Amino acid sequence: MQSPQRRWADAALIAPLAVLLLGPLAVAANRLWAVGGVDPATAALDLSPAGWRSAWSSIQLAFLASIGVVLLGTPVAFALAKQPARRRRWMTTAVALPFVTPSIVAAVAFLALMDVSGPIGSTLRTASATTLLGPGSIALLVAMVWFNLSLVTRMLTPALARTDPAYLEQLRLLPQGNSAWLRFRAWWWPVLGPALGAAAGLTFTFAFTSFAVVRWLAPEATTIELLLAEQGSGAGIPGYRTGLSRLVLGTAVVQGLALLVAAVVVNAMQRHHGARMLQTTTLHNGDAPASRQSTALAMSAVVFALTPLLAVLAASVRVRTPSGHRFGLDGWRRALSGDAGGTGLVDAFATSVGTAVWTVAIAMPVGWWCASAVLSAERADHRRRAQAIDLLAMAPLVVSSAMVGLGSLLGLLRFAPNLIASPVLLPMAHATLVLPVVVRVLLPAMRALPDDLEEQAATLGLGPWHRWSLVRLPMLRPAAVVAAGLALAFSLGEFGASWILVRSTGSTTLAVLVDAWLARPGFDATTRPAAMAVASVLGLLAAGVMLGVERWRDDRIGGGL
Amino acid sequence: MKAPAMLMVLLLAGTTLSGCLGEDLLPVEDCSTFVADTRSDDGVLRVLTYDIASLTPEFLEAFRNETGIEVELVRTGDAGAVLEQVLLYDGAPQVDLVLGLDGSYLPIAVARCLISEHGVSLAGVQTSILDASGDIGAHGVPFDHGWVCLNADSGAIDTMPTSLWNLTEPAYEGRVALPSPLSSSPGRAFFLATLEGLGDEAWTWWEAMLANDAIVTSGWSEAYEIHYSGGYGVWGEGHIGDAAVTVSYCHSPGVEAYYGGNATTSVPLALPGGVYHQIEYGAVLTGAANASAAEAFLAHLVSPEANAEMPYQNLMYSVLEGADLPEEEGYRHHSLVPTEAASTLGGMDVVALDLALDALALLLEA
Repeated sequence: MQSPQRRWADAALIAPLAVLLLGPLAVAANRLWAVGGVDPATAALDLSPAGWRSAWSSIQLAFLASIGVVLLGTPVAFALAKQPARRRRWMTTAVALPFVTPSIVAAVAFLALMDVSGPIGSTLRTASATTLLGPGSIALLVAMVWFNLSLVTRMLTPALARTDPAYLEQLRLLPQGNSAWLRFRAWWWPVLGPALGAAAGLTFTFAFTSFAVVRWLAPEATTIELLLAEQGSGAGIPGYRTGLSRLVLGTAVVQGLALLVAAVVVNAMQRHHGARMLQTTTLHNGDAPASRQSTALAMSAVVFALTPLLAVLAASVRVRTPSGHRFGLDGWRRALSGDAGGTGLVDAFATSVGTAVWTVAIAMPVGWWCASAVLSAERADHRRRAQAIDLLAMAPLVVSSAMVGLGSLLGLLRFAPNLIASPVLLPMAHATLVLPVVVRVLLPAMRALPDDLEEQAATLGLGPWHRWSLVRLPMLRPAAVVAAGLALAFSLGEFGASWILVRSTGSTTLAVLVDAWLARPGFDATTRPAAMAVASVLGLLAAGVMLGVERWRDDRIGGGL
Repeated sequence: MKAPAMLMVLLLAGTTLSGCLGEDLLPVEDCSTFVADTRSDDGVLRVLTYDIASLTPEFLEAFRNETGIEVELVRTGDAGAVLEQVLLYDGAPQVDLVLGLDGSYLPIAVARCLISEHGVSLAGVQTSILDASGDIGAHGVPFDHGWVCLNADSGAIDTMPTSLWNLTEPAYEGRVALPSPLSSSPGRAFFLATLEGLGDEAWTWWEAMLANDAIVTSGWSEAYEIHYSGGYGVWGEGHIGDAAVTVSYCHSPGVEAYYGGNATTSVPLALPGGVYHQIEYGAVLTGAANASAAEAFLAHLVSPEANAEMPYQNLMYSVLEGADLPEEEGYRHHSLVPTEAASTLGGMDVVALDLALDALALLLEA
């Protein structure tokens, strides 16, 4: 049982966390309400045609991307699972690389791919010109599938690799398993369904809230996130474009609801999936020889994952000329000197790394505390309290980057305008956004710790500090390293909130610098290569962080992230 | 699902606590009673701007050496976003100086008392620019300018249009790309030009253009890079090239030539009712921490050495007397200086502009 003091301590921490996470959003909503003269519910129901169009495009894109990820990801996961353990490990890592690739780099990567890769590029370009949601939407969908593919492989491959083939052999002999369809129903669907559902739900969430790829690959598509980010700057101003304040408020509510539904689905699916994983673990070590087709498929997935990133590097040294193109370091030189962009590559690098380190410094203790609080409430059988803290920490998943950025901006303007220019603003926003990931990684690891371990340590005479530093910390180190690594990579690549907030802070991160170079009129042929050069640095940085973290990762850490 | 419902309640509860921030938010009319919340002086001149290319490291270095003043740039998306940031500060500015608002944006901030009058000497600035600035000249220091007009691809059109109405004819069906006046600053400038130049007929023209399948894009880049067949966009990925005419600057073909080895098929068109004289201003905010440092910066910006760089760094004309575009690589040769153009709000006031933009939004939606 928990002591009353402990309960007060929890409450004293929950309250500020709630204010910090939800306060800015509430104040922003209140301001939009006051300016637009319409409450959030009415604003959402009474959305203008432009608002509905953006909601509809968001849903379409996210839905198609989810289907694409499941259709492409499932065979790839099977193929990866059939590979021998060592090869499987590096291949899975390679396929997962896009997922930690900053979104703006993903956008640039597909622009580069269309530009430099000859046949693939021209196919993609032709396909993109024929429309679904406007020019570029095919490239956009491919990019979304590319980005989220590892959600499926990360969740399915471990389960598949551990499935003992003898099981299936036995199933074939049974009446419930004598046709492929029956085997699918009796075995594959129960085992894979929840994982696929969770992966599809997460893809829906990420695709729904993607900003950089939509902004640059499908310049004429308007999604909710794009509308919030690009037009949000004009919202919340009394007597100025009040219709816009209503539109922003209404679409934000619609987005929140859509993401809420996705979050509920993901949550339910992950719980099932977690249970299945326990049942299927350690049955089999999966070292049977891989078939040639499956190896070919797995290899193509690796190539698919890596090609766009290589295209960025290539495009950074490729300069267009009136008669074609030439190779040169002009783009790199321009990016380094920052002549036209103002901010040089080195300054932006320092800002990005500094912001990322601060993000980890804020998100790790808060996330650690959240996870411990959830766990101790669970163990004390306070299910409600456990759920409340868990949900609070998950709240940022239901709001997008643009909403956090706008919320911080409009919320702070009301109470602490001086903070707007403060360098802590960006790490705070990033920490908020990455908190769910940190908690999701730490919590299962904490749950897996035997609960009598600390009691035994206490019996042996260890004080609370030693119990923490000698028992808990070492056992949780792998999860902590993975969580910190993900937080670091996330902050480095975060684009939406940064894009909204750096306009107030005066410092530019690498992700925002890539965008600034892309947005510049391209009369000068070295402008695009300069964007590619900055994107190369950012992509390599994020990949480096991920590869550094990878050796700490175990299949059960990360909940698919 | 009980738990997510709780979250939703939490979110909504935050918003229902009080729906009554409203009263103190409305703008004041009489600026003599306006009290700004002055920014505390931290010894750094903070400048809000969009990505203006002329503020090079060398430029900032020269300014610091000359005056000893440290400068920090706060960059935001485009001119519209710069204005909106100023409006959001609402008299409690986090910057001292704003750069890059043109005559169609600056009056809105001025009307809300957010800009102070300046004391910078404009002795070297062309009188035509001061004339075109009108009343705004007291609040804004012009630092570059150019004319927004239609550009046409001579490779795709046999006989050039001589009137805006030509573009409503079947020959131009689906072949004109217009950046939306609601989200693009050149688009907005062009819209103001039509309102002033075509008068009441302007709305008929816009309706006819939409009926003629004009391509309306969110920004200048989409129109120019993706749809226009006469610009550098043809080299880029995702280029469609279905538009033979688009909105850009009368000197954009000059810039094309300058970077393209003195060759371009793009031609500027100064059609009646289709030209806007865009002048970009720097202005000191009401409540600036250090107004004199801000004015020193503006004076430096219009000094002969710094301002002469405009055509190269910022792809705009210098505002100084006797200045012109460089002759190199056909920059000057392929550019056009129109004789007549709309400027500032195209003869409207701030309220009328707001109504016109609302009306256009309805038209575009229908």
